[in-house]
Amino acid sequence: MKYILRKVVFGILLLSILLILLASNIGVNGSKIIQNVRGTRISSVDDVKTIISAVENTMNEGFIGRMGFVEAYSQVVKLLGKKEFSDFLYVKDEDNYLHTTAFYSGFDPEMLTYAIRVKILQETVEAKGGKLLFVIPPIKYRTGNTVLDYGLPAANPENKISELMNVLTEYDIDVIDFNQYFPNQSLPYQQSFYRTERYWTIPAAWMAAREIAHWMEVTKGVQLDPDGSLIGPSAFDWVTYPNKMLGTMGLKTGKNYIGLEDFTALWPKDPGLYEYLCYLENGERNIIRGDVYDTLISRSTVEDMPDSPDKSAYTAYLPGIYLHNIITNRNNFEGLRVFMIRDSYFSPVTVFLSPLCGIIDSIWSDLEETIYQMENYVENQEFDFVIMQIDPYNINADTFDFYKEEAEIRMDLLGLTRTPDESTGN
Amino acid sequence: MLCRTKNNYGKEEAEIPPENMDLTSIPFLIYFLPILLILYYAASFSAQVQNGVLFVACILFYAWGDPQSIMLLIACILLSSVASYLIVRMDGSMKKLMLYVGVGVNLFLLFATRYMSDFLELLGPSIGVELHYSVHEPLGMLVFILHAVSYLVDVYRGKADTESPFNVGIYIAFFPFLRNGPLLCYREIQPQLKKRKIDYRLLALGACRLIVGLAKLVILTDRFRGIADNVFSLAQIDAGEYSVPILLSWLGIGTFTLQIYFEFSGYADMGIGLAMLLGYRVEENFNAPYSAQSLKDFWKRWEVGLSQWMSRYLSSLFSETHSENDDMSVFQIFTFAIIGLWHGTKYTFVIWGVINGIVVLAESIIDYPSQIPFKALRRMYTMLVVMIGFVMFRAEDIYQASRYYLDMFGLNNNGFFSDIALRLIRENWIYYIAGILFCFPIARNMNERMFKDPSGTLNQVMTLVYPLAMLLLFAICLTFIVVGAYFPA
Repeated sequence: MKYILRKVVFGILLLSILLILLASNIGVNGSKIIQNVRGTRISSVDDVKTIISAVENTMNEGFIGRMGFVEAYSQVVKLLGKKEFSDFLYVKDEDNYLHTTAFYSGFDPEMLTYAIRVKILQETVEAKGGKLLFVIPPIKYRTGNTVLDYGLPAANPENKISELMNVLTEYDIDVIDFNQYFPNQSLPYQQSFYRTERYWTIPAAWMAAREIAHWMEVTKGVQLDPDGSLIGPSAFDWVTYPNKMLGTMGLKTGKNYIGLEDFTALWPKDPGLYEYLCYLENGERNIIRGDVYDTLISRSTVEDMPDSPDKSAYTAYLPGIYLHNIITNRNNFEGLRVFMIRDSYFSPVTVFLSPLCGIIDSIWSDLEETIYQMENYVENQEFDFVIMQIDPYNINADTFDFYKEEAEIRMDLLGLTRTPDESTGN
Repeated sequence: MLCRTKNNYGKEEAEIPPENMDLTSIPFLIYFLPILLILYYAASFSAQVQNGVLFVACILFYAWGDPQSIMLLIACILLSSVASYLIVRMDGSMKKLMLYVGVGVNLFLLFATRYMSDFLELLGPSIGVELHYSVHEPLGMLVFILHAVSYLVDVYRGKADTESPFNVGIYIAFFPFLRNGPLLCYREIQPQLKKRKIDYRLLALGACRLIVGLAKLVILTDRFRGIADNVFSLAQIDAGEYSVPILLSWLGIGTFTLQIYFEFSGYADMGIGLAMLLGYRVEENFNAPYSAQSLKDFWKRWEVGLSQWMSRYLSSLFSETHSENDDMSVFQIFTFAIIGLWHGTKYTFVIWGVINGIVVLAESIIDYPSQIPFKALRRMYTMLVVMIGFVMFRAEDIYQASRYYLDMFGLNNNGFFSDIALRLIRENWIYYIAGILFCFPIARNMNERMFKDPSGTLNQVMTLVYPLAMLLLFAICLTFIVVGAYFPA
């Protein structure tokens, strides 16, 4: 048979498939793409870029049968017996837990600089009568507990964390390193961490919230929950949902590769009354008022989760990523005013602390837009507590991107050596 | 999403616009390409209308994610059109002046957007001043400027006629080659700008090339890049803290050697395939370079379009301005330095080019590769030289490169064995096998043997299996693309 015949057959098949994919994807995403284009007023080149970015997002996220492709890939990776996923994005340990990867996690010479920046933040807060607490959530990789096959490079920032904690403590900054708390006797490793999610479990977050509440009580000399009805174990319905959890890591690898796991939720018995104000990226505001299930917790995220989860059950607590949000406890207007610099680790913690406080004002800790605004915000508002929580896997200059100039001046005054990198401002 | 870095091959780069349309992205493959093909074939009643469709497609492709740079592209097209118009209407020194002005302005634009920043960074310390200059380099700047130069020089030399700004625009901003070449010489493409014949054979070949290129990029290149990047990152760690073991360092550079071949040839395959789908016939850019038996031979097979461009425009310029008795060796090394600069703006690329130039010169003078017995040994020699050169190509700076060389030869207090290397091989064996098979012309040779007997059973089975195998390959590519673009919240 002629050489070209096979190519012609393939050419026809390919062009037909491309046309079918085009028609079906336009059928599904066409109206949203038009909305993307019409939704933004063009007054500058940046607006055009915003439109293109939105259109591209729609095309990618709305691709027909996307989860089918993800699961097919997941199955193939499993069949190949691979212990790493997607170019070493994640590695799997012997107990089937996913870990983030780092081929190298070295010494960071700027820890001192970070500590001085936090110190300046602490002084600013204390000048307005507040108190600063620096918090690090626990990492999933545990030396002595996590067993990996040879050569698998899981991220292990243990040294960085202890280095940072030491230097912060030296500067008299109150710190809580939750690596010292978890796992513990009442919450062993399997109950402290998910196999498919990088964050701690909801029960672990609850225990952490109690620890922070205790620190607030001691620091302020008050009793926030004397009878345990707000944050005590009896304040919640503990419900375990079998096979309802596929965390963000698991969603990326697909359930075929890693499998589902159980999800234990703590649903508050007291519904409370809250106002949840979110500032959206486009500058608009969104306000929701109602009880805790109308505002801060989405039970349906867990209870109506399909058999093939399309989101992490963890997101039931304070769903969504907002640059800035404010939770007002309408039953306790005069309560503590707390400002949090946080990320998803603290979403459930924030929910658990809400009944104890009057206001919890939060910004996202690793977004450039918010961290810049933070300096002004802290200087112009009065808070009883400022809690800074950072991602233990991202201890770097971006996380401490505040009070840079002040820190530089302070270091010069103290005669402390700066690393060459700091001349760039990081 | 899959975001291929632009001509930096894993090196750190100040600004990489992530939104530029990539040939391996869903917006391109599922939306842009089919729509373009529908409109293009629908306009096949008129070459001018087809050119119009293609011109708009080129502009759209270019403007996607980088709309502010569109003015630069249009300025380049208009400038080249005006300059060419004046060149053909003038004589003698004025004609030459017009050429110099046209080429000079184009090259200045290139220098200002691509090289100035690194140049000043390098120059600053030597004159004791801190020089900072930052400007966004538009997508494909290098390709469209060199296309513009080719156009002006060919018109000046009378090798080709001038064209309307429309057609010049298509040539300069021909989107299949905008991102990574291959470079086209104007004199070869000009006849096709006016008249081209699209037949089913060309379309079929184009479709196959497109998918082969896509597979090289999304299945192999991305995987090899991940591995090579990690190994080179390890090599950046301070000497006291970590030294890359010998096994890992060789695996790293070997993987980078595969990555760079599949990246370049993947883009070239996709570009050639797309050009065929649009009715253009373009020369091959790679001819099994890793089978070369000397470095000189390697350069005849590696980035053929670039070498041709250099020989047609740069070498001939040298020949025109120098006598036969002049020593060509310095110029040859200079040409390789320019080839280095084509690949990136850092000085390490220039050093890589110079290393290649020196070895090629040495091979020309002494012809020692022919003294090496056995083909296999000659090929091993060539690969060794290529890989040693690629260390400089990939390294961030001379310090990293020198440390990497020490690692490779066990001179850095590093051991031999590496469990990371074994793990990388264990997890990626399937990619390595595919990579090694396809970087040598094994598949091509098998194909040729099969066609010696067109009525043979194997050939007939292949005819049935081939379309299905290619469809499976496309499905795998799509899976990789979709998974790469998936970021669960």
